[in-house]
Amino acid sequence: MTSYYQMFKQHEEVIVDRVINALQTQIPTYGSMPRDDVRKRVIAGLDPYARDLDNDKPQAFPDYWRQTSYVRAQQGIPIGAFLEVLLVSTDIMIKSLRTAYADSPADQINVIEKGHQITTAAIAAVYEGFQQHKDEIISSQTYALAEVSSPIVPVYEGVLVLPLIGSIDSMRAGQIMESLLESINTYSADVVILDITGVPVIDTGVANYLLQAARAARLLGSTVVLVGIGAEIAQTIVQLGIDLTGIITRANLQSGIEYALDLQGLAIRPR
Amino acid sequence: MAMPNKVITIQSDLDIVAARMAARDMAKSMGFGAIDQARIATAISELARNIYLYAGEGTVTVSEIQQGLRKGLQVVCEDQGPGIEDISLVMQDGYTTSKGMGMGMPGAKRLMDEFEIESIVGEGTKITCRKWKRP
Repeated sequence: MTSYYQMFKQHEEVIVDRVINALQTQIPTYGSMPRDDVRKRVIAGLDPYARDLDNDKPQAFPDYWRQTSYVRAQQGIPIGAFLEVLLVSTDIMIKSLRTAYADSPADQINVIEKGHQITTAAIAAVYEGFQQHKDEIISSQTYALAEVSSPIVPVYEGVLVLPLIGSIDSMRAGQIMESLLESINTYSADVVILDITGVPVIDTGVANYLLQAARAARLLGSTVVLVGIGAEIAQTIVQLGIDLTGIITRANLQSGIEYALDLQGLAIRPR
Repeated sequence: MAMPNKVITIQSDLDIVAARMAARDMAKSMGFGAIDQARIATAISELARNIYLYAGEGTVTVSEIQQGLRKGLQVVCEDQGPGIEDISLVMQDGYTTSKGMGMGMPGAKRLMDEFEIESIVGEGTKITCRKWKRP
């Protein structure tokens, strides 16, 4: 008895042509691609499928799609378009093989059952490939965000500005505290200006982090000045009942810097 | 009349942000002013953080409500956590069982117009609060 793979090889040319035609008429990106390029892709895709028909478990075909979908995800191709290619080509593959086995119902059923298994496994593999790509994006963005989230700007000898932007959760609060204390040491800063213009919500949790940071800075001999409290934030802070008397506050960054210089007996004057 | 509502599952720090963004977006689209938006967002931030801190997980449901002619925004925070033994105690400024400031619950109440707590020890807590739009 010939194997399914041998049977596929006997009809390969016809099947490949059918798949190419279907892809080029149904999927726009394939329609604009040179036929020879599409042929290469189709052959590379159908070969592992045919091998898997003889295997106990789908292996080669899902592996192929896992790798390909990862690459396609990197190229920014949407998963829907990609699954369509998978479904269109496997459908033609199965129909063609059923015709090839027209006189053997047992083989037809086998091809359908196996084919179903292989296609399902490949769909799962496509999702894995895409997910792997997304996971990589997310973890690299998390790193990138952590790096930009708490820059420390030395503006004058002994004066640091720490602009806070975005939501402050406990993880970020920890990072902020760490880099704050480190840079107080590095720059031997007398004054640290925390600018919260870019923080959308100050709740008791965030206020607590700010107070703790101010207390820790004071232990290192540094003064914390809080600037950039907007009108609506000021109202909510008062209504919440948060007591910020432990921190020196100024309206904006400019007054914060003036205050910091004043502490050192300096001032910005016109020439 | 079906009013829009949104359910946010609270399981992590990040979900707190999602909950208050959902509430702020809804408040904004309903035409609440900037200060009321900040009040609502801050109150939800407190309540969602409590769910995360004390119950581990729960849900925040934000919905648009109407009573007669006035429109409002309702927030329901539910969890199956340990429950609150003495509600009057948690509503006191400065009372806390964690290392927080103890201002969250009474503060959230002050930020909203209406505030109700139902809690059964060992079963969970449900907090319903509303903010009405000033005509």
